[in-house]
Amino acid sequence: MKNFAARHLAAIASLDGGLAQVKDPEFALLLRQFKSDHQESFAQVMALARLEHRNPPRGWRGANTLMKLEGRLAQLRGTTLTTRVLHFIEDQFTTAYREAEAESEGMRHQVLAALAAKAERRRAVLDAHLAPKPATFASLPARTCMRCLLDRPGAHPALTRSNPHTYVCAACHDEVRTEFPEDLARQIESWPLQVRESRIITKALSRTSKQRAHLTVHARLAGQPETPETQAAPMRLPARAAQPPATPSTAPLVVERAPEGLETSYLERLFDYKKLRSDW
Amino acid sequence: MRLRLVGRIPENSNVRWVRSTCGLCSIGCGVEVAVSDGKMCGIRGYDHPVSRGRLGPKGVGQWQCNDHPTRGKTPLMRNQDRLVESTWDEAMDRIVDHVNRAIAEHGASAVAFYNSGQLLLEEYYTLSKLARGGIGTPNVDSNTRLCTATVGESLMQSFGADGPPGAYEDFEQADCIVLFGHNAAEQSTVLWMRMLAAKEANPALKIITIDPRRTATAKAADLHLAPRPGTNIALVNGIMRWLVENGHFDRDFVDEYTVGFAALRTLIEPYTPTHVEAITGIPAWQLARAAEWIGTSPRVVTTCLQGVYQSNQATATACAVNTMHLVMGKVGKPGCAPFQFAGQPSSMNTRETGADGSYPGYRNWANPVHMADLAKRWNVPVEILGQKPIAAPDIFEQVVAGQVKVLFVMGTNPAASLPDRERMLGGLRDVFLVVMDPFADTETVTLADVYLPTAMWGEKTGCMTNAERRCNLVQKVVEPPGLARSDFDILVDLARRMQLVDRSGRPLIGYTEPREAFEEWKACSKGTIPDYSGMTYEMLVERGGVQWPCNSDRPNGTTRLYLDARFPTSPERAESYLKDLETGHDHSKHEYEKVVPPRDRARLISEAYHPPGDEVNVEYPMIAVSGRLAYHWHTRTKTGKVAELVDAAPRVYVGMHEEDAAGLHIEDGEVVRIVSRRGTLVAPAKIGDNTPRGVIFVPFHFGDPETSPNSVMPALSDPASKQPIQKHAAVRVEKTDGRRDAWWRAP
Repeated sequence: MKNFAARHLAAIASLDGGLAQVKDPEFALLLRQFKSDHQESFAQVMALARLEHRNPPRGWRGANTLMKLEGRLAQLRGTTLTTRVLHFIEDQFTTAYREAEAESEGMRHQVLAALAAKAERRRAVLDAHLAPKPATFASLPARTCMRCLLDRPGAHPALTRSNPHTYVCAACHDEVRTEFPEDLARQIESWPLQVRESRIITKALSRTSKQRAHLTVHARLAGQPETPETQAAPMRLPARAAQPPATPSTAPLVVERAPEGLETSYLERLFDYKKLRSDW
Repeated sequence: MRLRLVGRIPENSNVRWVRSTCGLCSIGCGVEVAVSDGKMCGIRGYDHPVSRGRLGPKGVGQWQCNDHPTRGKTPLMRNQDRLVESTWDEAMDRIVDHVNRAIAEHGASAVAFYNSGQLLLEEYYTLSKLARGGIGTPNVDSNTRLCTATVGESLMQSFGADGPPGAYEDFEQADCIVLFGHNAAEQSTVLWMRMLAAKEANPALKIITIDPRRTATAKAADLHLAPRPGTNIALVNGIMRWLVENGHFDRDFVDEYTVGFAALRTLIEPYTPTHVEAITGIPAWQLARAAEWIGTSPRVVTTCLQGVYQSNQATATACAVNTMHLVMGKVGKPGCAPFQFAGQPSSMNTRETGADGSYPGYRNWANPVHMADLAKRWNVPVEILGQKPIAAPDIFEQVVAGQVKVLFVMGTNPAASLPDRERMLGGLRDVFLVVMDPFADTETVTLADVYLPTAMWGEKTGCMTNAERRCNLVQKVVEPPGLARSDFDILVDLARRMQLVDRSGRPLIGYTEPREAFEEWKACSKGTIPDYSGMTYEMLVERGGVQWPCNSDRPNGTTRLYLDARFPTSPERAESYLKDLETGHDHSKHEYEKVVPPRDRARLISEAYHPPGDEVNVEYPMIAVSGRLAYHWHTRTKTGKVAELVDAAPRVYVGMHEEDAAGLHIEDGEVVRIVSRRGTLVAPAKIGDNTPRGVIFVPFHFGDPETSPNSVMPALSDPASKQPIQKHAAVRVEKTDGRRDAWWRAP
């Protein structure tokens, strides 16, 4: 198996290099999201090695130097070149994982397929950035939604804030409104506009919501089936069985106190165990 | 301070007394535990710097639950619908297999850890290293998210980093104490004793309480302000406006050590006493009197607790309290502190070690230099660090959405304590749930796929750091029951079985004893804000704890932070690049560099008031708030097993104002139904004037399906701290079948 762990670490290093330079907060968030995705993939590779009882892959000191150099180059040349370099990197990952997947079976095959699919989704996002279409980029110059990493059109307006810069595209605005629990969803319109938009942004930028976007929007973009979400149905716990009796103390209670005073008065009430009830 | 002696002292003189630390709340009282024939048989205070012999009723009773018959003694594994006994090897192998498969198939974030504020520093540190440096999951948080997450966030916003500036001795030195949403008489009993003793010694000391309810604390205060639930920020803005208008602010301090005064003035300008009265219901004269006392007292301490942290605009309000102190220059001086209070005995440690939504040593996850430093100390690749930590509400939403596949719950009971409870329970049922707990009967254990019995207080050794940054040692005095193991031992075993290694191929967790973990933590924290490098276990026992930072420059620890009024807000030192208070969105490093205060200044922060998210209307005309009682802790997993505490507060009740009750023809003790937009609870009504009109109060300790206030609380959190809002649900009260249960009238 190729040294995927080292490749992911090298990809992260290049993304870190980009993050150190990029000033556009929308693009910075895209880089951070990709970094997070490569960290997840690195963990997957390591876990697969553990499951196969192989020595965990090491040797990241001699990581993929070419990939690091590509990243360094991209830092100096603006977002378009960076996007192209990232696309090249993800293309390499996709190809390598698909080749490895074809040579494998069982659990390994399953994990490699998942890793390949992730790389394809990242590549599809970059494809969309490099060749914007109306379905994925509603405005020009192209913006990057901090939830779906695209800029899709929708019924509600896109949400923008400054300090810190925040952008949630119109389609994500639509989708996130449906993510509130029913009791809160019914109240959305009654919230003052500023508060309402703040709460929608908060939810849009939560990990749960971002993951949902990646597993649906990015999957469609990459031509993959959407990962169905297994939303848990609410439940009630049955009444608890009768509890065993509580443990009484065998040691006498000792409360030394002054003859009178505020603290003494409080101590007496507190350790009477019943008198405080009048304050409830 | 006078020495009091409180305890349960066995008549048998043939006992061994061992010094330790109370494990109930965040005060950190010194205790001596009586041991005879391998069993705990008593407890007493001693001349410890925090407590001077005092103990509260929960602390006195805590050892009594260790031998309760519901203690777990052997691992259990789910076999269809039943939990059956297993060996440790079987249980751990099953866990490791599930964890590895979940990560391989979905990524590291498919595994989540939800821990407690009741474990030990060495356990948190091990968990942090295992989860962040080994597995690589960002889904690590603590139940402190539900109680004091706002503390850390507000301190980061105002001062640049977490770490309460003050010390308990400030309460004795103050001229005015403001207890904001802090029912000290029920939550912090020993500290309240200290405050009452201070009041006795200095009758001129003024105590102001801010709480919607007329609590025991409020009744003893010199002034009680009762804001409508959810309006705290308007009150603090009003107090600050009065202070500024009347010249009770320190212009030199503001100019030299803070930024943002002009914007603050603009923000607070509309908050006249009459405007604040319209929002909060607090009479204008009360606001003016409180502000006058705060402004004219040379030394002021303000504490905040759940009344702030679990309420609407929590982080903004806590920041505003910090701001109020900064504006007056009352920070970093004896008797002066905004005391953002911890709730649980080791909640400070969760934040210091990175076992909640943070990284160890208050390192900034978005600062590559901080991450490189941590990677070097852990000997792991820096590339796997720096993930944005995820807070508990988002973790549980991932559980409900099926994104998290394996959830570890350690020493806490989310099945009873989470808001929007029924929806969350569905997630807990469906995820592969590993529960590590001393007791095998909690609501969460009933949903477990694997249950691991753990050692509890008195059965393991390690540190707990209290709300004034004082690290104390908790000692093992007896063996855990049956096959139970400490959380520490389980985590070390988990790391070993998962073959987690560092860059050199050596075991990631290279130690096996808590003392070795403490030594590694000292090295990890060296040079950081919570610097423990100068401490030893022996020093902690000898001195009754030591306040961090403690290092070669400060070998005796540090009583107060920020004596020089220089704050760690520079990009190099800051723990966070700041979040937007309205949305919780993070500034990037470049954005932060544009707004960073020059020369290590603090920030003056507040926010305009906006109404809470769960709207009160004709259908749901009242507000439900939840809170604590003096005799129970959280969901009673421990205190519910101590006879005296159960007798003191055996069941749930709904506190209700007599006029509201009369309007609904409800009598004292009558069982009523509380209905919200998302759930219901049933409990007897306790009628009086302690709960204000339009509000009902429910203690949150009782997690049974019918009685938990979390069934009615919405899934809303503070945007910045992500702390759930558990003190505001719109509800209505309905009569039921006329049953009565006025248990509080029993003699």
